Amino acid sequence: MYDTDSRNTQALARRTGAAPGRDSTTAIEVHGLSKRYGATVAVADLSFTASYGRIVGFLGPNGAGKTTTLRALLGLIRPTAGTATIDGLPYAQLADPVSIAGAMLDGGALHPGRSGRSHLRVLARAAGVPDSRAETLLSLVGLDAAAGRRAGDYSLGMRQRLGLAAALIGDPRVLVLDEPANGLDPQGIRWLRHLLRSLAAEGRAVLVSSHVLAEVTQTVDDVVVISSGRSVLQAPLEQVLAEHAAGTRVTGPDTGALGDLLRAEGAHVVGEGRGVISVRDRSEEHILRVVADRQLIVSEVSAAGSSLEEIYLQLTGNPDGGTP
Amino acid sequence: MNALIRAEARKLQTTRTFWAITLGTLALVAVAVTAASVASRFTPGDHPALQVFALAGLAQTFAFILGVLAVTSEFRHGTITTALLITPRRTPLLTAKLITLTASGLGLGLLAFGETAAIVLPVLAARHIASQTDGATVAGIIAGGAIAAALAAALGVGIGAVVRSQTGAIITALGLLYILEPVLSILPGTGDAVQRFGLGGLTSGISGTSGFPSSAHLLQPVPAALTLGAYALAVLTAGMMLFLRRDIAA
Repeated sequence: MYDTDSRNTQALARRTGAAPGRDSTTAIEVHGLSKRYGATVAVADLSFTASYGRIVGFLGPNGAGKTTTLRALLGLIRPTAGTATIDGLPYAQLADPVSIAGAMLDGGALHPGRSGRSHLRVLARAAGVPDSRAETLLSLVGLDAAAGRRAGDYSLGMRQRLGLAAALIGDPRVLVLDEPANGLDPQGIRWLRHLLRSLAAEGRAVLVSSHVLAEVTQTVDDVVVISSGRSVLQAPLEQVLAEHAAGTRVTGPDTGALGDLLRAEGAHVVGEGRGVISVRDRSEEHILRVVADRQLIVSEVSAAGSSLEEIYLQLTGNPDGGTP
Repeated sequence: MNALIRAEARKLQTTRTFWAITLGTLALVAVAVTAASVASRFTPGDHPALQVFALAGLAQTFAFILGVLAVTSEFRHGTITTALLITPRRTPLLTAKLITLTASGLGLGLLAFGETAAIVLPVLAARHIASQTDGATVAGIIAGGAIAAALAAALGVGIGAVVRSQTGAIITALGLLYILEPVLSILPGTGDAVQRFGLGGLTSGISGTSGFPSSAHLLQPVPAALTLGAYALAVLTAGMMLFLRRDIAA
């Protein structure tokens, strides 16, 4: 897709001799980041990293501080405390920022009177890349046909695609995307997944924020979950799913009694009855056997599914799934 | 810096606003200058050409607005974020904008005062009215008009960077030009000083026209240009400091 493989290899080779103390695969490092607006704390002592070749999902409810963090990372806002670096340096201090990092914030803000093509060509000039790069990117994001239209007439999804193209203008090794799936239809979300996967496969680091879990669970390698400006979790997705495996969910009038019986035999049971319990370390068959032996009444026994969504809602303390 | 200036030039060229303001200004000036040249009854002692040239001062007002819009539209549409993601160093970004807009103002002034010369001199000659100018004076007026428009655009960039809000900046600019200055300039205590050191008086002084409305209290071109340049520098310095300090939060 891009002629970047050799460049990435070289870049990675160069980084091997990089500053001591920093992992040579670290693309993004946020350390102790805090941002206060008057009395409001937007981000509090947040730390996480993102590595080359991996997609990091930056997750949290609306208002959790995701956008503030990304803006601080990109030098747009000044942190109250802490540091945020890309490839070892604050973004504004990078010698050639566009080839190191590309970003999309605000759904790729644009002037409504300028066409998609002109928008990219303006950025191409500022980035010092040829105009042909704009055409390459327009076709990569599927906007060739609409490229000449005023961007003010674009749908939200088209704006997101244009924003992605803008983020890629300098062929960067690090991509920072704030809610890139907003406004995309299901085909668009699938397209985005494939694009992000192929970018990561080329050795790039991708940091992608979202408040909608379904958009990212099939895409990310690692997750960083924040809530109220604080980090509540950072780990590879597989590890998170394994550690938070929820076991078997049982509902019905006798779940209280069932829970007591299973606990008595040493099972790990979550929930105090009241119609629903979750059993970690017993098979469905075993649970049903206890139910049958004791002639208990239950209405449903099912695998609770260790979905990231449930873990996320648990971690962000927002079990109804609503956003504040 | 070259690439950034080329990017800023492309930003201007790819919006309708820039062309509407540029072409609209030239059309308005042409109409006003033609009407004044053809129909005005000049009395002896007037400087007919200088009075007509004052109408081309409209170019300075619109150069000022171009400068304001170039900065504030970036904040209004959030494209300041996009721009800073490509060019995270803010000083070169605003400097490139300043250079581009100053050059645009210069061009707009040159065209407006040039077309004025091309209209007023032949018409006055055809009407057998002495223009009371010579080639060197006309060249000075055109150069001065262009420099005044360039400085006005630079001042606009500075005000845009300080105020950021498009509506706020435009209201500030027009309120200053068309309400505050005219009112102060007719008050007995402040009138002469405002006619001399106000934006309207300074741009007229730089171009060496009679002023619009005509004033007998104008500075000579060089001191007038230095004064307007000092205004622009002061506002731009404030604008740059604020731009460097402020969070770009949306």
